[in-house]
Amino acid sequence: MTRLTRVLAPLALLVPLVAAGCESENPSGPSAGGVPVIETFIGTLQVGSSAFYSFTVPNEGDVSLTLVELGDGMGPGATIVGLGIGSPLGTGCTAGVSISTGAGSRAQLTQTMTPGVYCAKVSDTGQITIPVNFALNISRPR
Amino acid sequence: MRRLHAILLLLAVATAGCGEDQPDLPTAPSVDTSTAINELFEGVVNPGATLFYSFRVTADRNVTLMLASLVGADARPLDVPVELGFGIPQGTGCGLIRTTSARPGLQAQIDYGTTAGTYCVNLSGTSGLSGPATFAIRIRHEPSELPDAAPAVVSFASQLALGGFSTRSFPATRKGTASVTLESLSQSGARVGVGLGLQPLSGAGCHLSRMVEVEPGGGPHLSMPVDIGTTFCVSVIDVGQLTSSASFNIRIDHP
Repeated sequence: MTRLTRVLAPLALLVPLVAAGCESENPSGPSAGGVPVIETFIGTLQVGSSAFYSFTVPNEGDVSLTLVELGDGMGPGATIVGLGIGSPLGTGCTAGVSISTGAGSRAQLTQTMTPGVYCAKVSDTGQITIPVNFALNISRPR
Repeated sequence: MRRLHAILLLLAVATAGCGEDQPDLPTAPSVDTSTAINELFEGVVNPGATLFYSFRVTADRNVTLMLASLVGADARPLDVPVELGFGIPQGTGCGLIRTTSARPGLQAQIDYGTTAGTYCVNLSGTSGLSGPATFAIRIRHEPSELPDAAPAVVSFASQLALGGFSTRSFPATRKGTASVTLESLSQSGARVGVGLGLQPLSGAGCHLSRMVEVEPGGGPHLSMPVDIGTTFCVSVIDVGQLTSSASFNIRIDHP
């Protein structure tokens, strides 16, 4: 179990279904017009399910998703999940672009986006057998 | 009573929505003659739960949100206030711009002029519910100016099966009052349920907003303010007093 997983586990017990978001500046992230903002989506991915987080892109620029943690206890990149960027629609997130990926420290998905409201989606692709905690960094233009 | 319960349950055709991602829920908008777009957010809400639904507005429009129906575990329409909100999807919820305490009705409880973009409707303040409730919220984006039209009368003559219901939809081309009158019923002395509501996405049944039990004569038996829209409905329901199928005639006055 990684250090971050140990930190996330009690948090998930306190907030069993979803999700905390916070913002920070990232001077080394993608920048298409100033310092990007990083929002962190922390949640629990249920078996056979998906979770999403909505965010606003106020100016055109790159949006990058980095799945930094997947609390599967299997080590970095061992478990593959779906990761996507799309639009909130109805009760879900319609992903326009999606990939399958494991957790890691480098951005797994980057897209140039025009101003608007978008969502980042994490979904089970059939590999998880128990609910797993995750942490996803969303880097977007300021 | 058990029969009425079963019928009302059939009427309350709905799909559950919750905070988890559910991309398969029906979301297809429909376009009416006034170039307005209607969407319906249908589902089941548990006491204390908060649900939201995102939608796109493609041009400068008036967005109206109407909590049309809230039906309790006993399958009868509820008159319980909940919080209805309008906002922009944010994080794992709906970032609220405007909220109001709303009871089910057929006139919009929120009317908001906005520009093109992605927005959301939020349902919260549900702690007053005593159990799971089926709900229907109409989302409508329309141009600011709409054509006017004269009031209309619709005659609804049909058969009511024993233990069954009959439903008819009607439009409203402007805000006003819709009234329903049970003019005749072939089984004398029997009472039937007459309800007003919003058509489900499936087109079958009616999301009831109000219902009364009536005999023919006098009237109108049920009147409600309604908004502009094409998908209002009247239901006639056997509440357990029919001994065989019966024919009826209903008069619907609508704006």
